[in-house]
Amino acid sequence: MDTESQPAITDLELRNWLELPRDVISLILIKLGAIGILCNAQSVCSTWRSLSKQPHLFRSIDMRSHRDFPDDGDYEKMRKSAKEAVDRSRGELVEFSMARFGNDDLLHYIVDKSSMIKCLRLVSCYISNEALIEVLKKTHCLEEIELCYSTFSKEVIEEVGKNCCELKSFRLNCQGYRYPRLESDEEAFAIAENMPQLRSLHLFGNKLTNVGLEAILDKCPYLEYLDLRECFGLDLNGDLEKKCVERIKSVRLPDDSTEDYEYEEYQYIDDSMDGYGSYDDFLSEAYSEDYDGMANFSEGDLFDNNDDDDDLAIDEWAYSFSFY
Amino acid sequence: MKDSFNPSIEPPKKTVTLVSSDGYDFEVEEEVALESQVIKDGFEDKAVDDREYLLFNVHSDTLELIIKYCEKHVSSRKSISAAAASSSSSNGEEALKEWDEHFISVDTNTLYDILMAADYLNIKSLLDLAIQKVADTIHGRSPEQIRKKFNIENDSIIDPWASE
Repeated sequence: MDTESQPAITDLELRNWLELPRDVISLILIKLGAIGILCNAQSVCSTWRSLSKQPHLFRSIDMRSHRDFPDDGDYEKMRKSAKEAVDRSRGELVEFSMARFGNDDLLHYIVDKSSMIKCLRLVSCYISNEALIEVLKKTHCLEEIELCYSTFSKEVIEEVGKNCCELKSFRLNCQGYRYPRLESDEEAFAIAENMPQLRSLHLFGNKLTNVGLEAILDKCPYLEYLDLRECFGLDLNGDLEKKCVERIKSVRLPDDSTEDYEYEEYQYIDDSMDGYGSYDDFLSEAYSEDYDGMANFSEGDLFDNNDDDDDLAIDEWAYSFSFY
Repeated sequence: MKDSFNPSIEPPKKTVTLVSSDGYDFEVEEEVALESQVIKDGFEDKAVDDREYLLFNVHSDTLELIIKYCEKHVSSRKSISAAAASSSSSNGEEALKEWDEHFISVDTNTLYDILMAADYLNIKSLLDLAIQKVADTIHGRSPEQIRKKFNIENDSIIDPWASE
């Protein structure tokens, strides 16, 4: 078609974005999320402000990323925004996620105002065991709970299971350490005993052993997805791996790639340890065949790094120990 | 009828005519036009020889883009399902995503026109794509920067955050 001769579309003339249908503006606001709306979009003009008050825009509030916060790090202000977002949902809130700034008071606030909440994601938040247990007793329709990069007692996990009979998905991801190897099946047993309905379980970086995993496989018959990445306490050679793969539709094994992992920023990267299968291998390789050579042993040798980040790697390594 | 069907002989492609707001005719394959839910909804009611649609709200420049998008999506869908049927590996979806990203990397005026047309014609995937693009453009910008970028006049009297 020849479009050369047509009356030129007035490209220089700017479009008036306020003429967009209200539905379309609302769809844009939904994409911006609660924080994008509260911190920026609602202050653009009166039309956007009035559209920003629709409760359905706040049904799903995700405050894990802080990129739209003008004052990242001002947790007090973030908690205030979170409450404002919850208020605007007018009880329609179904899904709430937050990272870092959550505290007991905010958690109570969210749950008290949201009788329909189905999904709660708390990432790296300082929330007490007592507050979480109290809140769990108040809500009964939670289907998805995430308690990542936080330290909660096994009683909390038990209460999650006891109070949320609709629970389909549970995430308890934490920092995985290859060295030193820390083993505990406390959480795995609490899950196995109290969450028989689970469909999806994420235990990224968990300290469970084969015994704990066996318990989960036996007691959670409906599991379809299981993330065991960086669970270095597991030794999945042989029957147990077979059982896992046969029983569960989708399994991520301890050494599987973490490339698509959603909480990259919380993850400890220890490339200095790549190539060592176990702590024993690591020791035997580090101290090599020739023990006499120890006198000349430099840190660079120890970490087998080919890049120039030796110092950084050592700092991170030291950090991994001091963490516990 | 079914027995006489011979897949090796392709029936002649049926076409429909789309007329832009500035009066240009675009003849497109039926399945491409049916990407628009609005056209699809009224399609059965129209006589076969009268399949012409006057799109009063879509300028020819925009319509050309919209047709390009729909053609790409129809053909990609076919090759993706063909690859799936022969269980051969295909990165069709990935490639289409890349194509989409390139397609929607346009200036603000064109983005507005696509948004309006996708909404008017009810082409959901294109509307989603355009809305995501707008949201990505807004992310990280202050209200003042958003106003400037999208030519929105500031008629707000109070700023809820400034007032605190």
